[in-house]
Amino acid sequence: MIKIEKIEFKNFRQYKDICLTFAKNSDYNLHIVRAKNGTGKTTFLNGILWCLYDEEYYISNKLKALKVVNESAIQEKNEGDIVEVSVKLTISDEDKFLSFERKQIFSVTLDPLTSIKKSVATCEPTLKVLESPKTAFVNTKVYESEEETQRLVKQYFDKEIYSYYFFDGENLKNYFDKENAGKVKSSIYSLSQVNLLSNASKRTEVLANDKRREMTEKNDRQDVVIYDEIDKLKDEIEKLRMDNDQLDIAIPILQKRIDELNDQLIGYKPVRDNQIRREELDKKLKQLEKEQAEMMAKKKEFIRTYYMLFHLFPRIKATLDMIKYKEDHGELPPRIDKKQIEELIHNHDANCPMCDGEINDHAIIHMKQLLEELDVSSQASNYLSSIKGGLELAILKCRQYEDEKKSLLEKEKYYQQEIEETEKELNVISQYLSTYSDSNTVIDVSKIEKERTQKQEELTIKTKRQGANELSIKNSEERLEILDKEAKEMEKKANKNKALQKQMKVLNDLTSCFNQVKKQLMDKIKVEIEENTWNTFKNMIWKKETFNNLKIDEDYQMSVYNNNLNDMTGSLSATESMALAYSFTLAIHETSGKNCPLVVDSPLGRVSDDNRKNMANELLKISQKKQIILLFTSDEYSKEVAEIYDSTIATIQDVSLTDDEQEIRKIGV
Amino acid sequence: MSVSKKIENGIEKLEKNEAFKELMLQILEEESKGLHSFKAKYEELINNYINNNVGVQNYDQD
Repeated sequence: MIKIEKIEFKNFRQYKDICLTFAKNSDYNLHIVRAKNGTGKTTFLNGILWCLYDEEYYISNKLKALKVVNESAIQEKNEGDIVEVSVKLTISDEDKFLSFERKQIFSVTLDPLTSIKKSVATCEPTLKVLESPKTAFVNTKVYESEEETQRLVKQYFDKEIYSYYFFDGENLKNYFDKENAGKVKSSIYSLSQVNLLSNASKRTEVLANDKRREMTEKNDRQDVVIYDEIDKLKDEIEKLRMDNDQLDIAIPILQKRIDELNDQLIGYKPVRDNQIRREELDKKLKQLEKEQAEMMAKKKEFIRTYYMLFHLFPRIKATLDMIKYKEDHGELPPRIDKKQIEELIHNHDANCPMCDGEINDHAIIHMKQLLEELDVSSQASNYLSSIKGGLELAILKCRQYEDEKKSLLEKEKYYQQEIEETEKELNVISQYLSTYSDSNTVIDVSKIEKERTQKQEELTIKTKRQGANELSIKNSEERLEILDKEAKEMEKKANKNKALQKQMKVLNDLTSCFNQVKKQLMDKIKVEIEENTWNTFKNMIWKKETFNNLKIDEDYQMSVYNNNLNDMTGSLSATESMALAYSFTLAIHETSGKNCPLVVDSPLGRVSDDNRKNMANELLKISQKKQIILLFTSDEYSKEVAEIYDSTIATIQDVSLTDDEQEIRKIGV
Repeated sequence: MSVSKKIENGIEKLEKNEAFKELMLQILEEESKGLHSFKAKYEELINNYINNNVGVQNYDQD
């Protein structure tokens, strides 16, 4: 249970210096403050509101109201003096005390025309909260920042529903208007942590959307294309390898058959020389083709090298000319003796060997700078010297272009001619053998030669196909290697997507669960408030048969129904309205989860005699579980009420204005 | 400020998976402290939950 322990006023309106304490003196937590009309009951309530919220909600006309500072306190001071206004509300919650203390400083000024003392606020009111354990009344924590103090105020006396902690019995319409109902709903949701669930579900939804977006960005259609190409390439390589496997078998068979046919021709004396010559020519042709291939590779390299050299020639020439110019003018290396400068800096007592002048500080600084520059220019000089040789070689190479080109073209021509001639001679031999005719012969040379030619052509085709297959396999494997790397990258992305999917699933589940818990909680709160309001209302009113039930709508507006189930909220008497406002207020307290005190101004003012006892008894019953502070006028604290709330049950404090009507004092306890 | 008993009971009634319950409470606990930058904290809690709970692997099959 949270209780107001004491309220200390200093120079707050008529409460110049007064402390009201609320220590329990029976099983009930009921406290009565009695005052005549106009002697500060509402100011007492406003004092608490000013302390907590820097507002005086129960003031009748804010624009024409006096300043919060006590008038007599100003008059007692001299011009330039200051007066401190403060209200300190001390509450206890479980094992700690919390004191909410608001202060404002006023300075005393003198009106030059009337010579009347006035007050000027020197600063805005400030709130601090002091926290201390119940075991030792020393402040262990002081909260001064706006954020901290507002958090604590909201935690105990949420400003949005101030009228449900500091109840004004004279202004009941507040408790039934729509705007107030909205505030109640919002405050209840905040106090019951419905907002916590709303925030969490909104945030999980935002995060799930982020993940969804991230996944869509990564999931491009290229994945499918790459995997298709990989599959196709693998199929292609497989087919080519299979073809080559067959060629590996077929080629040696063909070669073997050609060798057999060659042997047959060599074995037959009349054509032996032709066959021997053919074999020599075949060898020669192979050698020529090999050399021609090497020469063609050299030609390619020649074209590449000279393309680059001719492209760079103007720059190479210009750089070389610049180096030579610098060399001719003695700039490479620089003509400064570094060692001599270092010695001069070291032995600066001696005169300069060049001009015989004195070496002063300025000269030393200059020499040091010179050494630094020398280091830089030496580096440049070394670099230029190192590239000079290379540049000269490049120029020399350019000059050799024509000779090299001529030599290559001659070789190319030579190989072409030689190959053509060899092929020609081979054709002649083949022609001769394929038409060879000898009736006495034991072998058919013409037939053998025709078969040989056919096999040779077949062998050439197969060998070329084998070479082409190998090249295709090599190219495909290279492409496959690139695609594999891309596929691995994609796999990494896919794994990331998997992780994103998991996160998204968890986030969606969280959103759904938070929303379900929130809905349950909201329904439960509404039902609880309905039930609690109805139970208290039933006990407070004397008409037991008129009312049937009570409903609270989605906007937290109350409706009371009669036995014919007609809404009769608008037809309630003042007493019934008061009972309903009390009931709703207490239900809100109950549901908020914090058992906060209830301070009521004019608690029974609008209640007719028939109901007074009922309501007074109900409040007494409630005060067993909750602290209730009732601010009565002397008339309102009637005989029937006094019988119920006597001093053995409740603490009773009377306050009254002093004779000069400037100050309120306690006149009895 | 920490998560109210009413919310704890609501979660208890709704969810059977202990680890998931714990995750919900952790998130609400962080919210009650007043998170200024929620994304990093939420990701941390959710990833811890995914990494520490074999049950989450079933999400692969979804």
